[in-house]
Amino acid sequence: MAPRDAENRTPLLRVERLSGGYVPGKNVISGIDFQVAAGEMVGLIGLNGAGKSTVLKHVLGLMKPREGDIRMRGMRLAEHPETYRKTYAWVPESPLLYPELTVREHVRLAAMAYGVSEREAEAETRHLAALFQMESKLDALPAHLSKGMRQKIMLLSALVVRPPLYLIDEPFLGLDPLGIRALLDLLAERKREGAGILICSHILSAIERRCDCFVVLHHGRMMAAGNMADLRARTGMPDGSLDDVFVALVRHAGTEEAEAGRSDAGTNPAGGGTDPADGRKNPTGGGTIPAKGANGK
Amino acid sequence: MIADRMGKLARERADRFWRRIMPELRLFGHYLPGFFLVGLVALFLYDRLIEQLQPAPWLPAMCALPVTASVAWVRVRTWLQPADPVFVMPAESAMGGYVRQVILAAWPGQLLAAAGTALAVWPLFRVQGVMTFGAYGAVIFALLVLKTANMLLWWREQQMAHGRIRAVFALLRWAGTFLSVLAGLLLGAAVLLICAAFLVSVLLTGGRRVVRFALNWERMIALERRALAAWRRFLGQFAATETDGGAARPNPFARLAGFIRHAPENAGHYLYLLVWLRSPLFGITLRLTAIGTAIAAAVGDAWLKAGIGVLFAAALHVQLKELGRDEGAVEREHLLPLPEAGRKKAARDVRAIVWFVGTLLLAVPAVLSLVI
Repeated sequence: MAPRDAENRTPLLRVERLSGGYVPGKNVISGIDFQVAAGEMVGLIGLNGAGKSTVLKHVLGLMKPREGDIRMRGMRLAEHPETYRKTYAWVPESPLLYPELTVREHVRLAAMAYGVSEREAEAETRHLAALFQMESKLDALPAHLSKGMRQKIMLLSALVVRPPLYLIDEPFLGLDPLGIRALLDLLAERKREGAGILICSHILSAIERRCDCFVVLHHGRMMAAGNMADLRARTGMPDGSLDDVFVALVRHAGTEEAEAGRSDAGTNPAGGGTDPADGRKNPTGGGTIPAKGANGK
Repeated sequence: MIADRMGKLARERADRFWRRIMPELRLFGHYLPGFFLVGLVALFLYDRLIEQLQPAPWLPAMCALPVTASVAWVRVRTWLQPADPVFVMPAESAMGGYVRQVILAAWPGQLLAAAGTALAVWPLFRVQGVMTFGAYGAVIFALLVLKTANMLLWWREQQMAHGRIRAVFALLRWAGTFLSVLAGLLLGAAVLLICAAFLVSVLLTGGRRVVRFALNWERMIALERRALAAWRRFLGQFAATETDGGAARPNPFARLAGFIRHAPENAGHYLYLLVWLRSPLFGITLRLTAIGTAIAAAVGDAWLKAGIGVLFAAALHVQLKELGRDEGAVEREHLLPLPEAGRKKAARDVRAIVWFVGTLLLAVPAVLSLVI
């Protein structure tokens, strides 16, 4: 196998059997398995508290996995921290900004840190600022900007560096419709250019047509994974939208949990009470979609 | 019952405030030797002013100005917070007692400030030679009565619904207070008391026709916010405090950061230079350097100049340590691929350069006295 081929075939991000949590002995996520390849957009979806942000925190290195493995281009964070971090750009749900830096300075700082040349960064900043209607705000401090504009600083900083992988958490919160459209178009463009994208969002209609596949989380476990056709087949909704499919999956899981609760109550009066993530049967196991990889690999 | 609970709430909030602010006050205490020196210089200048002054018709008016400010200026901590209209409003009937309590709590401090100002003005006023110290003591007593009246009028003012009417009322109160103080200084304590009674009766009668709230929630919350901001400003003058977080200000010198070469190894330097330039640390650095240099220049002995330079250089070092400390935000550490060691080194480098320049300036008076 030629080295180039090997590189192309290595997924940008591979998450295998990931389990972890905040409190010792209590997993918030369990058995998470998916990957993001180059030129692929994966949607990580789930209800509030499903574990999306926890998965992202593990990928970023903010949390240490209790079980499983996370590799970025085949590398683990502990082994190659600098290369690992340069592989992705992260857009957090709430903007993390330096109050002392203007919009332009934030973008320049990101470009410097990622080793993007000054000329390239300036040209890209102008282009992106025009797309996101931020031209007149480039020299403003974050304190003088609205929430949506602060979110745009994060997006500009991530997009200017053109990393191989984008990790994007709820990017549409506070964005105006033009901003949402500009972002989706840009992500589609970057995807065509070969970037991988992992996006968490509650705005399912916005990502339905853009994502190649979805990882559906529920109570810290993978409830389903696959492309739109897979999810439709699983729920028996051939024309269903992602919203319809998601709601059906969550309701079905709720019914299963209620039934499991009733049978548990009948057999085990103590009522379990161990690990909410570990204590449930894997809902993906009973369906037609295997939960091995988000891209079906 | 509710009134007791409200009173307890005010006490709890006051306790919490002092507990939170105590470490910052201790930090501020590090500069006491510096402030002591500044105070000595101010006393020296005041003494020189008194020596040069001759009796003049405008002198009582000049003395009346600071006294008026200390009497008419009322600061009461209301301890009310933005969420209170939602959660505390149901207990509005008990708020009368609450307000009385917070005003009474502020009263002794306010009287002390007014009496202190009047005493500080005495050496200046004595030059006019119109009053003995005993008669001036009676004026101070009358001033305290006027201060109490001002606090009551202030409360009436805060209840007013319309901002413009409140402003007119405040203007009349301040003008009336100035005239009363001036009359007291020229004609004695009895006249001051008569003027105070007249002022109170006129303003209270006029104020009756004005639309008022039982408790002007918005106004009282805004006053508390302002009081907190004043504390922050005061503590932030010479010490980088936790409460300064996010107080970034535009600074034309921030353009300097543009000269840093665009390269990954310089990203940390770029970041920390901008953080220093736009954070309160920049002002603190300037103030400490300027005051230290000015005091060193004012004192005579070369060794004393050097000692003051060392004192302020040490203070500068302590303050500059704050640069880079805000990196505690764990998530922000993962935002950019800036290796931890490189980032810490960048913060150290920027701190060292700023401290070196400041120390050079602080050393100038001592060096000049040795050379010249």
